[in-house]
Amino acid sequence: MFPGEAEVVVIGGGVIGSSTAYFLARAGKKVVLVEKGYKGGEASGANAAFVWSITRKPGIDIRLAMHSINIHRQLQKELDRDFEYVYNGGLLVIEDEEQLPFVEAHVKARAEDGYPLEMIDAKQVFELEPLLSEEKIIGAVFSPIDGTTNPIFLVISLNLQAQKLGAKIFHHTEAREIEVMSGKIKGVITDKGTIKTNTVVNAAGCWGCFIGEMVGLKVPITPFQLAMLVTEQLPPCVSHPIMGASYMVEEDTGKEGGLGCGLIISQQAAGNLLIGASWRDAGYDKRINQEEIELMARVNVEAMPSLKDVRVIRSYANFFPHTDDDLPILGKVDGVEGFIMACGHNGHGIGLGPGSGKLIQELICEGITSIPLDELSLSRFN
Amino acid sequence: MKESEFAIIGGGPGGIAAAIVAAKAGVKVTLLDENERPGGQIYRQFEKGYKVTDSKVLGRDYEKGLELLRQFSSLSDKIRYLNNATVWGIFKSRTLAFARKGTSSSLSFKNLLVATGAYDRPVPLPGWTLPGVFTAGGAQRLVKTERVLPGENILLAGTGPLQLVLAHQILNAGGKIEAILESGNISKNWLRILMGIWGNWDYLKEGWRYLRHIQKAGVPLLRNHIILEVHGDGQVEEAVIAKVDKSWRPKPDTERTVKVDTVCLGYGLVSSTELALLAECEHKYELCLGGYIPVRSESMETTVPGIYAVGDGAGVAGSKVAIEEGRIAGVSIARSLGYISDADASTRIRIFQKHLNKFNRLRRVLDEMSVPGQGLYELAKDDTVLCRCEEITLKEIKKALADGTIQAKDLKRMTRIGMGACEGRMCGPALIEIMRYQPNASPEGPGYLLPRPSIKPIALGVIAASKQEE
Ligand SMILES: Cc1cc2nc3c(=O)[nH]c(=O)nc-3n(C[C@H](O)[C@H](O)[C@H](O)COP(=O)(O)OP(=O)(O)OC[C@H]3O[C@@H](n4cnc5c(N)ncnc54)[C@H](O)[C@@H]3O)c2cc1C
Ligand SMILES: Cc1cc2nc3c(=O)[nH]c(=O)nc-3n(C[C@H](O)[C@H](O)[C@H](O)COP(=O)(O)OP(=O)(O)OC[C@H]3O[C@@H](n4cnc5c(N)ncnc54)[C@H](O)[C@@H]3O)c2cc1C
Repeated sequence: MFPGEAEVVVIGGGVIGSSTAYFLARAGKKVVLVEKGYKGGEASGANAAFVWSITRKPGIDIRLAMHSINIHRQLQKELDRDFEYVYNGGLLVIEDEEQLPFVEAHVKARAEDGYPLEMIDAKQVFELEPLLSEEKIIGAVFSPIDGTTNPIFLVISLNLQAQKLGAKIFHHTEAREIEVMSGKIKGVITDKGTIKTNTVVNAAGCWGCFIGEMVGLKVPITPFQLAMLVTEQLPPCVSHPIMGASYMVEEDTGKEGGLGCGLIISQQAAGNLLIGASWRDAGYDKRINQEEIELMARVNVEAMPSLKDVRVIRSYANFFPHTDDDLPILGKVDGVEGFIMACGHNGHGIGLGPGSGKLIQELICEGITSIPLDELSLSRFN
Repeated sequence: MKESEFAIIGGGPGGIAAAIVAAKAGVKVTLLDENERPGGQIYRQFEKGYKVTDSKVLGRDYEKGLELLRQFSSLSDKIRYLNNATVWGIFKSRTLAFARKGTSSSLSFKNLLVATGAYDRPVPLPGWTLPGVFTAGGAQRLVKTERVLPGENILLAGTGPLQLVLAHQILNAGGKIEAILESGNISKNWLRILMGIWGNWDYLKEGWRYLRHIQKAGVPLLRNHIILEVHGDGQVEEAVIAKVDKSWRPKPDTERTVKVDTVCLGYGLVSSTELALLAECEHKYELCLGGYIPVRSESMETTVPGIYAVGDGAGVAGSKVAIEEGRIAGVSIARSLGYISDADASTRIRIFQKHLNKFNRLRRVLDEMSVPGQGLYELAKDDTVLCRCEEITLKEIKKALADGTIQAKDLKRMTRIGMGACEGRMCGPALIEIMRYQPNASPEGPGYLLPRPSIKPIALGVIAASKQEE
């Protein structure tokens, strides 16, 4: 039966909405989650699955990442259904001399902020990942805490557990309007009925801007496409998630419609390699084009030559919620009481998802969060 | 990049017939097919080294097909034929990607014909993954192209005329058949059969010939029978069979076990629609025709302008239908490109259409007899594997269904069904049937598993070595 009221309505059933609903239910809140499609049906179900800290910048960025990694590990103990989270370290590989200064500057800044990183030389890299090309890789940054998860299973697992704790989850249910009276949230109108509530969490990812519009807010989130390849299943051969340092240098490539690609390789529990990632500014278009597939094949075969005989069985593209400063928008907003932002996680939402859910729950239940959210508020864009 | 005015995917009867009429009208045609030689499923040619003289093993359709193939090769200056070319994607920019000779290329097209044929309907039942269980098509390929018998004591289980063809071929090749199980109820429909066969004498004659051959060889043809399970220790040893009611559900106390070392499952065919789906053509569900098939106009055009679909890939209806549909598409495209006049095209299409109606009448009757009964998809047990690539059992599917998942694509995310190398070709059709019969099934149907490029496994090195087609 569709609920007439709730203490909190979460809009969006991706990793952010699902973990928010889970932590709220665990804290005893009457929470309803509405998802217009299916759980994990958007970015949270089609990504590179990295739970990552190496590339995170000093300040709030790395603090969010570290906090969320801890919560991710906690969830692994708490949730009934396994989600294949493994963390035996990740590699940011340096592909040429040009990347070196960017990487060195990053490592230095991180150390100064109290989050040091370990640089390793080519020889150490090949000890960790013997299949990488000796001609191509000149060194790497190694982070022992990084890893990969199975994001779809994580979302499913969070949903199931939230439901067990009393959360009501409705798929194929779209939030159409939000009722506001005298600056206060009164309810959410969906295509299945109206839910009275005083608190709404906007966890609609790339659609967070439209939810914002419903209460008269301008939310500067735009979709940004990333694409990946999936290979046939192989025996264990890649033991760490690998990312190219081009992500530290070329961050802005592609944002004007151009096509870019940076090395990404990891192996899933099932044995498939996930290979990526190309990026392109394509609006809300999820279709992949041939150039993206070819570019990914070239970039990754060059870095790991033995991939050339491995067969691709599928590809996928999706878009992540992009913000100009690469940080999420979390917390309360000015002028609309009871409206809480939890979107804009860029290319890091899987890693940041569990932590963000926890922070939003703390904000709603206790009014104070274990990491201050001031720097992440919507008003920073004014 | 130069644009092809007419690209055809699939060198079976449908694709070839389209290429011939279009090329004769002056259209510059490019035909891509993944095999060494043209001909598709039915005129599947022998591997090099065999002589194509033994029409006894091959059947009469093969002889007729040779004429089509002769015409095709006589037009080699007008048709650019790319053999060993596996099309692995279609993209929104009206280009297709194909792998050939160790590299991948891209071809842009103005008009496209998808004539990708069909494959055996996979039917999950206990023991279907044991060595010694074949699809009827797989067995036929062994006998026809490699001249190897699939086993020593063979049970054929399934429905429809292709089973008789396979039996005929196995017997001709000297094989021993324990029995043929036909799950459909044939006797009840005799009046409709007569009406449908009107004007289709050669089909009837051919079927009759096969039946006589089977009777003469003393092979029992058991109507209203189904195979329930296959048993064996690492290899087929026996099969459990039973009589069925009209929904193909086993009748009580009719079970028995037969000792065989080989089982061929032939429950008809399902269309290969990956490419039409990738091209974003609208599909609708037709159980008789092989599941979700593209929606088409009278000229065989799909809902995407300039993209056409014919033959078994657009609804399983046999080679004769494929040929006439191919001709209609070929003429329509020649007209749309201005090579022939509207009047000329209409006259020709009317003739092809008349043939088509005749064949379709027969098909409808055969379809009605062989449309899978609901009982077929109740054979799998909880521990039966549905998705062979990811080893997903029925139990896991049931769990996700109980959780309220009503769309096939959501079930894929939930369970990983269809995420393997075959991209759901093996499990998709059965999954759709199982979902259709769920008590909470969505009235719009479960939808399908969306294919993603590459639709067939292609080595990364091949894709990396890509080049643009001149
Ligand atoms: C190819 C790719 C690779 C990536 N790799 C990584 C990685 O390795 N590591 C990492 O940490 N991050 C990665 N990301 C980023 C990550 O996937 C996203 O940041 C994250 O999934 C965002 O989660 P979300 O819950 O905010 O959004 P989503 O998962 O998009 O969820 C938002 C949900 O809201 C729903 N919704 C929208 N409007 C409404 C409405 N009106 N009513 C109801 N529901 C609505 C949508 O249907 C959607 O399901 C990657 C992204 C992509 C595309
Ligand atoms: C296993 C099997 C056995 C059959 N046996 C008989 C029989 O004995 N008698 C009878 O009358 N009918 C038989 N049929 C039916 C008959 O073969 C078909 O009705 C007829 O061949 C349909 O023609 P078509 O052109 O639609 O497809 P097909 O003949 O199947 O041709 C399709 C072609 O497209 C190619 N193709 C598909 N996808 C791609 C791709 N991505 N890239 C490149 N090429 C691609 C295929 O390899 C194939 O060559 C059989 C069918 C099957 C599947």
